[in-house]
Amino acid sequence: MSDELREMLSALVDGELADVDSVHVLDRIAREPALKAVWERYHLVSDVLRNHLPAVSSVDLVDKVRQAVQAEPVSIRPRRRLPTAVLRPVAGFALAASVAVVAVLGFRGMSGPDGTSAVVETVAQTQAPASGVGPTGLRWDVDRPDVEARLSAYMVNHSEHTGSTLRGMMPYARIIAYDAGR
Amino acid sequence: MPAGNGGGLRLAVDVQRLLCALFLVLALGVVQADDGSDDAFQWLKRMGEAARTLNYQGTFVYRQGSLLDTLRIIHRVDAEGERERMVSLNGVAREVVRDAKGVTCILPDHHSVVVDRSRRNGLLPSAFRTANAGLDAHYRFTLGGRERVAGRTARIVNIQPKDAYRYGYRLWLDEDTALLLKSELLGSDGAALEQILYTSIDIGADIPDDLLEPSTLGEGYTWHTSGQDQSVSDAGESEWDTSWLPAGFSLRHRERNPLPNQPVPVQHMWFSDGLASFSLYVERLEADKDPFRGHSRVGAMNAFGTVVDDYQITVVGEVPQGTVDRIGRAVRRR
Repeated sequence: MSDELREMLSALVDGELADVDSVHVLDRIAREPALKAVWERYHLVSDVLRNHLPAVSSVDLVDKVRQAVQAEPVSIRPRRRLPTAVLRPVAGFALAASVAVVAVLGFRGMSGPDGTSAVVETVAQTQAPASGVGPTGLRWDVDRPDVEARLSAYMVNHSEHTGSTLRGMMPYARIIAYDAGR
Repeated sequence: MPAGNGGGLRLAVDVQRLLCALFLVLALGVVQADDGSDDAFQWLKRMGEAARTLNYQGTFVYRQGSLLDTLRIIHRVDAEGERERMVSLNGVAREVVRDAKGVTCILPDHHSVVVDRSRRNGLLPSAFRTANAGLDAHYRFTLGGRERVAGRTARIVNIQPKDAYRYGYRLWLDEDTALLLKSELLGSDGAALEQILYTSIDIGADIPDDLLEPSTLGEGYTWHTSGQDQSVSDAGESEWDTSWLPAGFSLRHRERNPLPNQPVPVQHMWFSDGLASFSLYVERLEADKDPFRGHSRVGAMNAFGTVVDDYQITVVGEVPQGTVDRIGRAVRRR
């Protein structure tokens, strides 16, 4: 990676990069996993310097918990309106649905020392997700998976009530992006 | 000292001049106020209307800490009302689709679909539909300069909280249409906690149907559906309340949500000042379950947990840590 790009990344982390350059760099980060790993590492360094990390270091945990998961390919169907006859809804309530979402979201994306992401996937809803807290990525900064699951369920439920146009669909952006530490 | 007729006339003229000057000063003062908060508020009203009534599609970056996600959004208004779709462009295509019937979240990597038909988004009317809505008691609205965003000229609107109990915002609105092009949620130190930044946007063109269809049918997925009939709107008195609220916040909605494997439902209370909001959840502690006590946060969202009388109390919201803390500690059982 060029020195110039490294400098831009560093400036971006510190919030010192002009918007014009930011957009360009952000675009690249979003598309290049290797770049994203460097970006995450810079944030880790920055957080340490500013004392932002939670009390327990999660770097050790990252090393301990690494499982490769075979992701099943998503089958792409021809696009058409979802026919109501095909729906097999599982009866649930708003909070229960949120909890289910969170349970299947599980814990994601911990970067190993070589910068690659490991994905831990929960198989069944009722299975407690594997523990793992990352300093980066969008997740609650608690060490307990059951607490994180509950807080995430609350977050989804709470976001559904926010009708202000200031946020509009934006709470859902946070939920879609929630796992992006993958 | 006026003496005689001539002097009296001069005094009258002087007084008249003074009155004129005074009047001008007052008039200018009123005009100044219009250029300030009222004008910014007008921009925000236009922003709300634009978001609801225009066709647009674009790509934006969602930033929070080191988290970066690129998302695509498509919005269309037709005879059936608004339809909106947001899909992640990174990795697996998680997406959210919203229409008159409700919100559907599709998570291909988990083979799950979550459907919410309760149409709660309609519960709180847009904060900016009615004039001011009392928001200027708690926020300062000012119009800023101009900047280029996504190849368009944008006008900056600043929303500054008047106390430390809520967040501020900085919005960049398209000068032409008032659509939101960039927004920052600002922490107490003025630094951005969350940012949304459009990298490209296309406004006004027709939007074909297939852009709004989800990319997968969800066959073979697990569906989780919730709706109005399944969560009980709690019109009656709740036995739980908070003895303190930041100024301007009030209880807007309350409901009880039963959990599938628990006999006792979760009580949920939603509070808002018209712009910011937080939720209070009360549920009975399960035996031999460790409660959640203390703080947690994810980006701009803060949480505080405590226990009162065998009940888990949790406050969650897009407000600073100090706010959820203080509310949580003030929760009482009647």
